[in-house]
Amino acid sequence: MKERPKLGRGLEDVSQHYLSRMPQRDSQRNAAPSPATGMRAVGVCHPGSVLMQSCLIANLALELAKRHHPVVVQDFSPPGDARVRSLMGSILAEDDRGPDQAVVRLYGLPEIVIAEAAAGEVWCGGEGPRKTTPGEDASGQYHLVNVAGSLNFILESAAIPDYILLTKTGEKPLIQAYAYIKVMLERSSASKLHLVLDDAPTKDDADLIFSRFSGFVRHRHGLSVNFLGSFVSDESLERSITEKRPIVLVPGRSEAGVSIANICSRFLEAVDHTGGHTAEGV
Amino acid sequence: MRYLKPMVPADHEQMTKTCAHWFRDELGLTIVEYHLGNAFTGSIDMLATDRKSVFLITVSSSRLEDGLLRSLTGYWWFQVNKDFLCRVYSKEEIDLSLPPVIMILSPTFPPETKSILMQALKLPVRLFRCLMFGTQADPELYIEELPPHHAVEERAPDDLDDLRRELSIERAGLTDGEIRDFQAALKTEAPSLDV
Repeated sequence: MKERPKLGRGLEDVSQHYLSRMPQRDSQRNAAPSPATGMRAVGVCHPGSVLMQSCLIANLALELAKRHHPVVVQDFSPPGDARVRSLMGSILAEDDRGPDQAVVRLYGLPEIVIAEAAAGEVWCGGEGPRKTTPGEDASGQYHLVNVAGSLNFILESAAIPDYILLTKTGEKPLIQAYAYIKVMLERSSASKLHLVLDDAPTKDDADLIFSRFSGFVRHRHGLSVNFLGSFVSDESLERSITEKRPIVLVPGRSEAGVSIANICSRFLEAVDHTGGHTAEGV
Repeated sequence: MRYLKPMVPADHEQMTKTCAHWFRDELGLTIVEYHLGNAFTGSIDMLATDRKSVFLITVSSSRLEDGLLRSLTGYWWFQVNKDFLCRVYSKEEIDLSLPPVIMILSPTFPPETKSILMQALKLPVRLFRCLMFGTQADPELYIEELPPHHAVEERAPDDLDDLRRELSIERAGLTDGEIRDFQAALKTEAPSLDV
């Protein structure tokens, strides 16, 4: 049978997205007003796994789009299958942008632009590849920075107002995470820090580890770290990575899907409450 | 204090899938296929790649001898069927012209196993100690790679410069005291620091 041209591209994905358990309209209404400059940059960093780092970015980008925020992903991770573009491969729109850019366009949602940086490039701030057109309201636009895996990148990049740091819960990964936090604060003491634990066995373990970790950071640096929760890996997450479809778009309530949705939700609640926290503010 | 007793997993496939998570998360490998071949002519538990090498992974839950034999027959099967596999998998999935590396997971290894295999075989071998704890229904996995010549065991346990290099955190400027305080804070019984 001759295949018909597909109408309503992305409709299935967006339907699933809209039917999720997350309240969208209310959160949109209650969001703190963004300042006139609009752009809010968020760095995401997992010193132990580029794949999990990109995975969180891909899903966070969709959660932001669901709340009607235009999103630009600036991907500084090493080339390969662990890049955000690869993890969103099944929902990329056909587009004539350059080879280092891709776009996700789901029906009724603002587009997500993915810009891939060349090796050695660092984040310089600014509007990035998605320039606002005359008359377009840039408020609420998010730049998600997929951080390259080294401390040098953080030190040499422009200051980023919000960092989401993912870490495993062994002693060495936690020391590494603390080192990253120290460098982030050295780069800009105004940066807000959000922590995600990658492999905590139980919620109680995660709470205890976070309590000790954040207590030490507060004791040493006088700053609070915001806990976003635990990242759960399961077969559904593995399948979503293999199928290049972010797990927040996958039907059904897997443990991994719920954990990622909760992390995104907590983060957005945190930035909504702090409000007015822009790249220029750092 | 809890004492953990290793167990022999009843479900080999479940163990293989669990190990696959570790390879993907910790080593960044892409798992291309599970259970290639068959028990008679040779089999590979996992076929994986990092775009620089092809990894033939064998998971042995009990005796190393069994795993070693399975790994070598698996490599033989891979070589014999390589042309066929090249037609099955695209180069984007896995480039089978890349150099193969054998990986073996086993609960125990006799001393100097890695050195012996490196001398005896013409292709690289990576060995991983893999232990399962907990229960069959809710297993917990422990995996560590055996370094060449057991370098880790020879290392002084308190060498914090080595730790900084291993974690690539030299530029953070953590002092020895700061690291030790952090380690102590993580082990504090009550979460008293968070006040």
